[in-house]
Amino acid sequence: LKLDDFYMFLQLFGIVVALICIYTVRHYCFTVNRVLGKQRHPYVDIDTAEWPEVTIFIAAHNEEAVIADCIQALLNVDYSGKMTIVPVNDRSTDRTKEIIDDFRARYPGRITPFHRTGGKPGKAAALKDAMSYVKGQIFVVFDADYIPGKALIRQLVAPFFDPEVGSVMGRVVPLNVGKKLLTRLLDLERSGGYQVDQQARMNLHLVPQYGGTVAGVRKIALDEIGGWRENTLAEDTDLTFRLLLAGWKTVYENRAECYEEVPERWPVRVRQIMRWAKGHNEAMVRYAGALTRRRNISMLERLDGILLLGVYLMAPVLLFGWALAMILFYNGAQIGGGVAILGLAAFTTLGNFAAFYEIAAAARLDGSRLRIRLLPLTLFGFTVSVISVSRAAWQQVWGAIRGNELVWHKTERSRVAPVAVTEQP
Amino acid sequence: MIWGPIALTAATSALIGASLAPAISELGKRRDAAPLPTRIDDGHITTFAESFRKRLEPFIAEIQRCAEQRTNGVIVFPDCTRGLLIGVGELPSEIAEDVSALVLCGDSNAIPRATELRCDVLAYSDLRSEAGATLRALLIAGDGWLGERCVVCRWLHCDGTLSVAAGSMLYGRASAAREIRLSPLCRFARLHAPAIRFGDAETRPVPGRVFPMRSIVDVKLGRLLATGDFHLASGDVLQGHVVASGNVMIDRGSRILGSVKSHGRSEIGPDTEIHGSMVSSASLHLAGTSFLRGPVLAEDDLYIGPNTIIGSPESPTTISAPRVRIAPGCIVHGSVWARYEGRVEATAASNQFERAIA
Repeated sequence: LKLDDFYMFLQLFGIVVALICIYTVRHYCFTVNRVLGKQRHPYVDIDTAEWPEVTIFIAAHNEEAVIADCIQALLNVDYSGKMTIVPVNDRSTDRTKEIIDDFRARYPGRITPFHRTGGKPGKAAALKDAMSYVKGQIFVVFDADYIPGKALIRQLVAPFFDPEVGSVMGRVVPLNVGKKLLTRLLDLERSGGYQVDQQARMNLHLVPQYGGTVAGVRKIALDEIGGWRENTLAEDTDLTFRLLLAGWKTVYENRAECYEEVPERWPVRVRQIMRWAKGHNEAMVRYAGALTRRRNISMLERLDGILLLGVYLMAPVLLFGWALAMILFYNGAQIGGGVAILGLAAFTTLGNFAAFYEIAAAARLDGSRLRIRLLPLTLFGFTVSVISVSRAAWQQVWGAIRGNELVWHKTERSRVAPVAVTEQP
Repeated sequence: MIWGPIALTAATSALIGASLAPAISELGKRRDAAPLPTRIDDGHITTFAESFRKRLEPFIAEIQRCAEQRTNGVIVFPDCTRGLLIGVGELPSEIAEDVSALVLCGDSNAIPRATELRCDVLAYSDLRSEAGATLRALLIAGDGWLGERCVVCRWLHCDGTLSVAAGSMLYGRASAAREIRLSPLCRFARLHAPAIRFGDAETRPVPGRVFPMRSIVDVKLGRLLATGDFHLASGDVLQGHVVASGNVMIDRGSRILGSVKSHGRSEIGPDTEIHGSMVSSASLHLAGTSFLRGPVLAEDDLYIGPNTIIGSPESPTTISAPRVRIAPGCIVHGSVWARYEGRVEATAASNQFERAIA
């Protein structure tokens, strides 16, 4: 290397290491707060109130394997306000429509299906169409593979008594944990992500993320920000930041737990995380600038928001850092400390891959001691995620140059028969 | 020469294998591979009382027989513990360790002064407990009276009206189907009833509904976003929600037709009306003689001054805070949650408010 290039590479390497350190500190703070700090559950006690009318949307595109479980569980929930269930059948070509219509016939007045036969593909577009037909101020959204518990709707609606709350996110718990190595790793990842990451952000008055399912949104807030954005791959992240910029808060309800089915095959998982990464990066480009300039949002929220928007960029940054480290090493640079940070901290850094100490803390908080032994195997999930997310970022940049439109891929389901969830004491 | 690399490879493999062994073992044996349990009960305050009632259901004929014939009896539960049915006479002076339930089915059920009962108790009709009794859990099928300085350790449910004398402590859940009356200096954790009266609170008319037959969440109202503190002057009326990033001060006689959120301390003056929820990220002081439709939430201490009404008979609500101090004269319709401690204390709120505005 020429001397100028050498110093430029060294500076870039320093920037990568600094970014890694920032994210590491962020996740350490979250973990310490979750284990030792004051926990905020301000709305969890609301059990008696004049409950508002709630409309529950079930987003369904070819969901014949799972949708019956979801509708049945919703019919059994305990909610004393008016509740309408709206299965949104988005252009399904399997038996989804038939199953929904069968439920409507058996439970007249409780289920109002919305069958969509055309229009723009994607969950956001389908929800946008369906929501234009319903009344009520509170919407709760589930994906079709979710199985809500009895008190879940009440728990998700309770925070809306706070006039500042625009959206609510509940906790997602994998149901098909024991199937494969992938499902077990995703179970750990989800635990870390919700039990520690989201709850810590709630505790610290930062930016909990609306996740698009097991989630509620206030209609007036949605209207104020212009409704769902159809041309995005991550309508959840998009909504979180648009609400934040408009002065609405997203809150996380750790005790509003709901079962979901996680991907059982690696290709499905890769597609899922690539979609998330692209959507997230898209949101970063759209909102990072506005967020830094918005003075009515607290400094800590803005900082956390920026870091949250950047989590999926850390994967290519990490690969870039490793490449730089190799180049510099073979050119005689003394970068032992930086390499050590890259080696030790990188694995613990990437937000949505749930850094390993977050997973360890979550397993402890959940009281599930033996699954913590799988922690070393999360390296596989980490490797797949880093490569997939980096690939997604590359595709996105290349696609933007070539003017390609982003394509929404539905996550495939593995369930083949209705499940029975055993009641826990 | 050749043994060096072999030894190094073996040692490295052993180290890697040792670190992965627990993971591979768990992956193969799947000892902790079930989905995490989620809360799927309805979370109702009477859950424990209903469980106890269900436990006694198979013995209902026996209990009725003891009640009608004025006799005592013994029942045996499937877990081999016993239940004593007391239809006549006084409670036994000593209760054996294997007795897990006591059913009082006499004419006038009474628990003598300073009694300690470590089993769950069902009073088949009204119940009167003398002062200083310590009870584990109590289900009362009629009205209940707890004397001074009684302690209920786990839960209490009353199918009628529950009256609790001064200095008593209700740990855990306490609920009544009709009404709860708590005297001054009582301590509590979680209360629920259509009407909860603190001290000698008398029924007073609540202000009429501003938004008839609708939850405040269902009403489309504008929001006032205040950067910093928010102050509503005496006698002012505001229609809409208020969200303040600082403290909230609402002066005497004001009306807010909407909900209020404060990120700082909240001071609500006397004779105010809030026809929505009141949420404070810090402490909340209600000076008294006010009406709040609710819910009322505080993330720090909550002081409620005398003669405040929260909720209404047709729209019960929830109060929740880590510590709740309620002055005698207040009425709450619905639930009160004090996560650490609730107390019925005279003048606490008004003093705090006077200090705050001074």
